[in-house]
Amino acid sequence: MNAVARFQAGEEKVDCAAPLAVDAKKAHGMILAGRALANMQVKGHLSFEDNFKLTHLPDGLTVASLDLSGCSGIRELPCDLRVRRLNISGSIVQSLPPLGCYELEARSSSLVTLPEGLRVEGRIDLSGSTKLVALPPKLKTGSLVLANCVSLESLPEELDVYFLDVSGCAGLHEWPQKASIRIGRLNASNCFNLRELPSWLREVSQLDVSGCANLHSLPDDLRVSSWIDVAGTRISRLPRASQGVGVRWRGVPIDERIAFRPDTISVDEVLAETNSEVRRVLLERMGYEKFLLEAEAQTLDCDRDPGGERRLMRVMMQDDEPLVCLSVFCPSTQRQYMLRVPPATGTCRQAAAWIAGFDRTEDYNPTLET
Amino acid sequence: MVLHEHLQQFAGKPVVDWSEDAGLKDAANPIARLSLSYDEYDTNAKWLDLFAAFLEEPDVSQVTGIVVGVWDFESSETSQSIVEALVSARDRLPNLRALFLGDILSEENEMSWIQQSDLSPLFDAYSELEHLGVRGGSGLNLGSPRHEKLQSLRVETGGMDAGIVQGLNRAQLPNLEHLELWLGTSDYGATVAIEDLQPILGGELFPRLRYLGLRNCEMADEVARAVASAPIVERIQTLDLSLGSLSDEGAQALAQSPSIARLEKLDIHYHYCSDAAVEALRSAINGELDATDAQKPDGYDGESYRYVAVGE
Amino acid sequence: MSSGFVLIANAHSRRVALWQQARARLGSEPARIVSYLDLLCGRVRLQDEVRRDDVVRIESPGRDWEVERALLRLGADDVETGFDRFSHRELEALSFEKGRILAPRRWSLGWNRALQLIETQLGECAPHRLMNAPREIATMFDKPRCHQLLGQNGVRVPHALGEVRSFDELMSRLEETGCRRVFIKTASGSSASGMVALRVQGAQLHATTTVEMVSCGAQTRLFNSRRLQVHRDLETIARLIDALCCHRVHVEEWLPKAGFTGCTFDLRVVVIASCVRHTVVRMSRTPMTNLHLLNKRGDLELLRSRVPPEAWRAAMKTCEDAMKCFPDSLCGGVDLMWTPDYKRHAVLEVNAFGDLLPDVSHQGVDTYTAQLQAPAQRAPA
Repeated sequence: MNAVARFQAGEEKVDCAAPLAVDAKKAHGMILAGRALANMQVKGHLSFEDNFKLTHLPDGLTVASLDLSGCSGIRELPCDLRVRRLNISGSIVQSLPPLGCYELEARSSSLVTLPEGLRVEGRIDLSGSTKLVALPPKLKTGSLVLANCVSLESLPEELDVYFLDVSGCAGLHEWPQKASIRIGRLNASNCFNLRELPSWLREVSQLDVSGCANLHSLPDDLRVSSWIDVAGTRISRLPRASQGVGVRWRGVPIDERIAFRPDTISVDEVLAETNSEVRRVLLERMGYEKFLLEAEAQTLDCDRDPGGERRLMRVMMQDDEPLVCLSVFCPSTQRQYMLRVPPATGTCRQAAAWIAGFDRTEDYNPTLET
Repeated sequence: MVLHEHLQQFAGKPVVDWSEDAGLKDAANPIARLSLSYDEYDTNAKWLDLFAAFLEEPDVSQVTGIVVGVWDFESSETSQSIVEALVSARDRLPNLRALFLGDILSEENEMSWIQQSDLSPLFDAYSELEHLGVRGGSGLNLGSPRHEKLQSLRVETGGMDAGIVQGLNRAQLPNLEHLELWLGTSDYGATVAIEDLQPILGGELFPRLRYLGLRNCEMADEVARAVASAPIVERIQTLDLSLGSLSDEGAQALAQSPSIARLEKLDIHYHYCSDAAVEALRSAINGELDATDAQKPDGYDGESYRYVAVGE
Repeated sequence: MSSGFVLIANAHSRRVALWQQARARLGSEPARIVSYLDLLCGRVRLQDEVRRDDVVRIESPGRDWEVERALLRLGADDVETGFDRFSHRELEALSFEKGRILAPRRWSLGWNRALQLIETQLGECAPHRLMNAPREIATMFDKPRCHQLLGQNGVRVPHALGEVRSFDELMSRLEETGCRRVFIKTASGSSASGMVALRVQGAQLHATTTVEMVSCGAQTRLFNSRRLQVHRDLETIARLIDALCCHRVHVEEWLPKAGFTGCTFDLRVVVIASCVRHTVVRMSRTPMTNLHLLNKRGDLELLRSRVPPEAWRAAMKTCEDAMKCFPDSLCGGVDLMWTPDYKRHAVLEVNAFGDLLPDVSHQGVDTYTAQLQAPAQRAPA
């Protein structure tokens, strides 16, 4: 039986004899007043959310959950802290003792690394911990969330998890030689520097590689059982072992054909689509240029800028706002661009102003548009 | 609204509330229900606290079933963290055979407000799983499960997305005997069409199916018509079209089906059929007919409405 | 020898008949009836009716349109601005409309006046014993006050969000408190009258109600309906809550109720002379469990086998504790619920006239006989 359960079982006998089992509210006051004894056992959940006065916790503190999120006065935790769920999100805690707990929440934390010997059975959430540069080798937990840990360049060797979220880890450019991510989910969206998925990745339920602009293909023996999000990648087909799996485009479930054979999308298909999210994906896949051309868009306005002719075009959509785009020629790239603007835009000038970031046309007076 | 009582039984075993104080008395036998109480919710407790404590039980490896109750009274959290926790605990629960996710009552939350998530990792995580149930269709995804041992799958929704059924149409569940789908109403997101059900009705998809439930369905008459002539009826023992808006039209289609007679049980309870139509059905089948809880259509502004049992 | 018994009541009500039956069964002389209408019109005075050593019981004034009108007339002058007001002329022109939520605020002020009148007159009567004190009846009828009194005395009640005067105020109160599910009920008024169960999730709303809105010019008239209605659109819900707020409302958190045999339930527990006596399980498939919505009764013995014994004992003690807040009331009907895990119970309401359970017996007697047999009814103050 664990410590918390033990003290709870013995709670009725305990009165003034040590160790004291204190309810959370009382413990909260005692700790802040600096009157808490070592080895204090707390019944319930202790929260010091956004507290700036807390500087120390008693040695040997035992509590079911401890919330230190946003605490700006405490840098270190007692080494023999016993807790099932610890939250140090947004706090100034800089290093952790080698705890054993069920869940560690450390979003936007000041952590640079995690200690070797840390055992977190369920979940570690370090998302937005921008100073994090390394994790200990052989780290094993259920779910590991490293979203937007931008300083992280690699993952530890022999990492063992079921769910891994490295979305937005722009610095990540390689995978460990040997590691395990299985059964659950790999979210590697917007990892621009990833060029491939590791060969040891065999079977997950969900795979999100959307926005991985440098990813060209997926391993053929990778089996994904639920869905793959391939938006914004260069992937041109599903792995052989994942035929028939759900395909998503930035979270929107779509047909495989829309993802990999956008040339087959017709204007009628776009206009007939009743789900507006899906319709936006269809439009994006088909390309505004092609759509406006084939849909015989109405020209709302037409003028000239230093680049040449500009055209504001509109197509009405059922149950959704109309598609209004400004067609411009960019002299520096020598290309025609189609840029979507708010549906109420009436003139090319307004559209160009909106694109440049101005709400009022009067404020927009460029000498040369590029 | 019929969901007023927590599961008393699941997978043929009694369901008993687990709490840290009471502990796990007979780990292998009853199914443990882990639910956040309204009071605990007020004190910053999370469902995961309960689960973490549960995993510390000395006999947890013998546990054969878990029922997940309320995890959130504000419907702001999805079941994703619970699915992750369950998957992550797979080594601790080697004997898990039965899992129900969302034993949540109408009093505790609207069924359509229960925020579910992608449950597909559970199939790979628990290779011994035999019974899986889930309540709430919002955000729900099952993928296309492949599982050798799954015997029963029960999906209760107020409105089922067609994607769920389309995913199941590609599933490989060679031992599935019980398939129960609460299709719900379009008001709450039901998009399943009869065509989506055809692979199931064809009978080849799940060769060992004995029970087919297409329940809580607003297009119960159409479903009844499709089922009446479907090969699946030749294979199953029980057809359950209960809790839906079944009326005489659907009942007549069933009564005229040549294969309906061989069913061991036809369940249409909570229905909108006339006495005559019920009698016609009764004489058409040799097995048991449950036609209790007959409803009257609701007249409003000159229109007549037939509501499903759990329209929420 | 049994003492004389005076009932202040509507002479032809079912309650009077039940009291008379109970008297007859015990071999006592029939109760003498003082009718509300006579009392309120000044045609009789209690001083002339109550004799030495009589037992006096104040009964419900309900279900008599003439008495309703008399009470509304009495309450006319006390109504604060912002609540339902209509002129004397309008009042005289009113005719009975089934289920209409007419003017509960005004009605309750009139009822308070009537209770004050009874108290004053009883003060001038020969020494007698009173079954239920007018002040306590008034408190039980006032839901916010009753809730507060119970809470202050440590009786478990749902958390109250206080009074609100409009839908907007309600929404900002929900925002402040973090409460996402509430019952809104008229502050005075019985059972499920004027009740809305509201849940909020993000921008989504879900209201279940017994109240039906009927537009009448710019005015919205409210009716209690047996047909439960569900609303999800903000505009309708706002209109409904705003209309109810004109009658003064009490808002409290909606605790999820336990259920069994396919229904949710609460208990009506009749406490007589500090002891739990008659208990009825009120079953419902909706958030409203009150009997007058034609909900069926549940099997008490089956329920007892379901509820953990310690949870049952604690809840019964709570019912008795609730009635300790009303020391001058021999009897009260306590509405009690459990959460689905039976870890928590709460008193929802205390009903001054909650003893109308004609076919329920406890230890072989009905609620009325039990009260007549109860020891030591209060001596005069």
